[in-house]
Amino acid sequence: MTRRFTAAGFLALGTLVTAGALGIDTNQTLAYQIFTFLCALLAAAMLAAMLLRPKFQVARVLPRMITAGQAFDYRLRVKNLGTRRADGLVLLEDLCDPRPAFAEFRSALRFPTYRGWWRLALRNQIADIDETTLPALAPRAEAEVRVQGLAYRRGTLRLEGATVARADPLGLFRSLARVALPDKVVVLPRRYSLPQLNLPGARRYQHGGVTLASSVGESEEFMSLRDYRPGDPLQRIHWKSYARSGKPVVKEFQDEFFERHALVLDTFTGRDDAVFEEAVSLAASFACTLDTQESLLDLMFVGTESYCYTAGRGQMQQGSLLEILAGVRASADGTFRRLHDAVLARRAALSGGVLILLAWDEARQALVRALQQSGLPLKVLVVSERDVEAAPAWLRVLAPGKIQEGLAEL
Amino acid sequence: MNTPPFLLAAAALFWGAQTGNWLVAAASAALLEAPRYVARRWHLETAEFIRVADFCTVLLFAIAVYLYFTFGNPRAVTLLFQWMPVIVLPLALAQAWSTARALDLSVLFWSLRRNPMRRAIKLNLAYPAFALWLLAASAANRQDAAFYLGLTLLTAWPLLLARPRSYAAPIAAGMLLAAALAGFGGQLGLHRLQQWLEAAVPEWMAGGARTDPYRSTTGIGTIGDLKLSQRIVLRVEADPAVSAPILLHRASYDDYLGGTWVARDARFAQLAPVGGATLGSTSAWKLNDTREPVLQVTLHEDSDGNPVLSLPANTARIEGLAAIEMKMNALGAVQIEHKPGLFSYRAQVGSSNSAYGPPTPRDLGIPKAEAAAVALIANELGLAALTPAQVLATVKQFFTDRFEYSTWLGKPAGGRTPLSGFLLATRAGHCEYFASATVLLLRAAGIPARYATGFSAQEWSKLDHAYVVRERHAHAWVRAWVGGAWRDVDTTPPTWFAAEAAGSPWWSPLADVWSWARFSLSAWSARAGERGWSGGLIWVALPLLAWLAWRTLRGRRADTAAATGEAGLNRPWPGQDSEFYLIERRMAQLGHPRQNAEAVTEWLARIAAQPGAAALQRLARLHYRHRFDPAGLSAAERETLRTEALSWLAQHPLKST
Repeated sequence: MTRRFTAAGFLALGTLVTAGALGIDTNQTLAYQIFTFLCALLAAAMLAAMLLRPKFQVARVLPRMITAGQAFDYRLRVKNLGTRRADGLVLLEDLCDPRPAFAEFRSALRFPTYRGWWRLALRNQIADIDETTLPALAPRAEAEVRVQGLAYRRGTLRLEGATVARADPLGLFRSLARVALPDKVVVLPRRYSLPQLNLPGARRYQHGGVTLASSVGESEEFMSLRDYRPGDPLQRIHWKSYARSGKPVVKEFQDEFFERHALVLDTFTGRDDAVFEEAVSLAASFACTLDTQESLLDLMFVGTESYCYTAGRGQMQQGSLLEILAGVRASADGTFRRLHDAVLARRAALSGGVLILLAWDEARQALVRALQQSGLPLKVLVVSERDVEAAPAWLRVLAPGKIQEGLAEL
Repeated sequence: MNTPPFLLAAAALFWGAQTGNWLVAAASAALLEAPRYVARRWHLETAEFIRVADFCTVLLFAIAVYLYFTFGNPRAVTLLFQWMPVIVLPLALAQAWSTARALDLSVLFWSLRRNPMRRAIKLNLAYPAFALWLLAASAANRQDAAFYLGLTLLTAWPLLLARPRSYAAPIAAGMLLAAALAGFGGQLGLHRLQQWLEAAVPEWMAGGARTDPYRSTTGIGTIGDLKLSQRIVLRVEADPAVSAPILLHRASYDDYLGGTWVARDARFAQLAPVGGATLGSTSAWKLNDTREPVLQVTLHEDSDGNPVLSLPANTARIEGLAAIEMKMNALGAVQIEHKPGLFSYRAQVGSSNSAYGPPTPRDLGIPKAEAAAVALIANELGLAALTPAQVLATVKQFFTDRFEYSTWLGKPAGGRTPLSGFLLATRAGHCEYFASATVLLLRAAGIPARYATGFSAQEWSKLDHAYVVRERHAHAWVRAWVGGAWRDVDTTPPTWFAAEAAGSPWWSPLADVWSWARFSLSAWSARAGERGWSGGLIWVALPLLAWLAWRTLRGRRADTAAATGEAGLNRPWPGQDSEFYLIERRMAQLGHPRQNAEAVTEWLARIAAQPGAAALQRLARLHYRHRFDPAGLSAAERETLRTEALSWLAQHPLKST
């Protein structure tokens, strides 16, 4: 219904309902006259909209990735296939239905309520795309518009099609022309800017052969320029390129260190909640901040099985790690022991590690103890809504919603 | 405000024309439209708008309570709607005079302040305010064609201006006309449907509070259980000498037609107040010639406009009533012209009732359909041989002994009429059956009789120190001409009152306390009105409004419209006179508009394949220099731009698509 009515149509509908309630006794008020007039007006608008169905062709140019919590835009071309000029046009994107399936609804809510259902639907909504006003189109004419949207959460934004809505001659009701146009965009986790991190650790022999060794060098030498990513230090911005391109660009250097770090993400929580999302964001922040030009980064977590993805020269790109993190789900079953074993199995190759945990219980403490005893330098971060009792001084407890403040103290 | 100029002013003035509040309407119209001509604006944040909205809510609530206690429903609802746009005017004005073009939705919805939406929705109040003025105008209820005409014109105005331009104007105008005609037919039909329903539904079911002095549709013949409301409609304070039950007469009828009693030739005659008091002030009215009224009954009644008074038999004078007009018919119904709400009056009861018209042949008529059953019972009781006093006693005894009270209405058996079935077979019914049957039996015995309706006051309320009369105490009885005067005869078994009371729900006492509180407050409000305290309310409200304005605007920077960018569109800029804009407009009309934020060169590159676009490159360069070059164009170059642009326009006329 929200697609069918224009703003004027909605006002007419709201007035119609109010007038209907107010005018229920025709002896008391004349609101029944407003009611019948608006009924007739909306009926005429609906009839006209049904008779005047437009035909359009739509093509969109989507970015491959966008970031949760940030606005995005993309280009879209619309062609009028009809034989008449068309205006009063609006483009509506048909996103994947965010309403939860029955099984999801039942498993997520102990007491099924409308509000709970609504929250689930909101949580499933990856992004929202604005209604876009299209210019008037002559017959066979084409127009390009910029469509804007806002990504709410990480995941895959699936678009099923696009709808061109055309208002009736009174501008109250729309006829819809749907075009099937399936597409998808990866929404990367939101990221925090991390302070300058010096992960301690010695260089270790890596089974990488020539591909990995090609990056090894002794001097701090300028290597390349790349686009600014949130978290990049301001000192590295290449101002000349910034001025030329209008986009922030940073310098990358090549130096002598060649290390392998583990980025361990704890997924063992019962539900996909804010705490888990913050942990994923934190992992993403590390994944894109830790320098993989001259070191390797292993992203480790456990889903249906144990996963380990390595980023670095000759390996995966950091962007790919973010894509992987966009799809990480909480692991409702299984024990923390699986992650424990997976990390220790790779211990020999590692020179340092960042552990992002969701609790500070015995199992997790055991992993940290084992790694510390093996002499591996560690940074351990716990995302928790509650304070951790008797936390060691080196343990960082970050509260969801206040992650950035917590990181500033690192 | 994003409405076309003067639309809001027109809507406010339309409201003024409907309600008669011209001064308020004109002031509102001026304040709403003035920002178009005044550059000064205030920079208000959402927090300030929330404060204004909260003030409006408190004002709305206070006025709603006041109206409810003064007028009761449904009048309070219609009055509230009528004043709604004025109540929320501070919010509309806050937007109109601020730099904000739209308000955050959380200003209006409390829930959104606690749980904000993921993406804030902005709302411009202009069109909602417009709709509110129209709805409020409808609540004035001036039943003439002017309202519908005004409604149609005011709605058509913005719709035609904002319509999509690709459709020809006659199409939109035709649709509007068709909708206006269909809507007019629809509203006539809807109104007539309600009138038909009101006439068809028994008065008992419609609630006893409203009385039609010309016609009383009874529940006789309807099947089902009678359900009546607990609502208190009257409070009666009587002299100790007046014994309960007090029959409070509203209207009498003399002709029975298959379930409906009708008052024939019952024309109303206007009564003049005693001593010619000024209209509208409390005054006394004389109903009959009794010299010395012997008893007094004070009634507090609630009405929704022009009520028929509830009066004890033999009422000689009515005092303390602020009616605009009073009129009475020959059957004893007294109707007044009075604004809705609570009103009180004292009925002075005399010893005779010369005001009720003498019996007419119609007071002896028996409908053919009922004649056989009535004659059978009259013969069985031997009424023909008895004196009038004996007839009354016999008939009363007959109903008391052999009939029972029931609110369950069954289907008459054996093809009889419902009334005949009541007399001969079922022998159970409610007061309308008893009263109707008694009228016809008395008429068969040669005694002129009329069917009387009203209330029976017999429930004493400790809370009110008065008899309370509920809707379910609506009653019917007989007025019989005996001994040269009309006498009230009630043959319904006295158990009816207890039977009705037994059905009252558990929450009835709570509702009574609420009704008492409402009555006490409205009585207080009426007394305050009499003493001229109502004006005091305004003096309370005005400082409150002033305080709000001060709180909201204090320390706010006053901006000019220019600062808000609103007037920016009207400010001249260099090169504004360039003919290239005409070309751009023509291209847009031909379906190749320049997008927002698209540079002219980009646009020309995009539409390079379109006819005529190639020739525009040179003109665009000239246009750019005219627009942006501080040195500007030379006179010759300026002329070139003009002539070439005009010749291009002549070569590329607007094709009709």
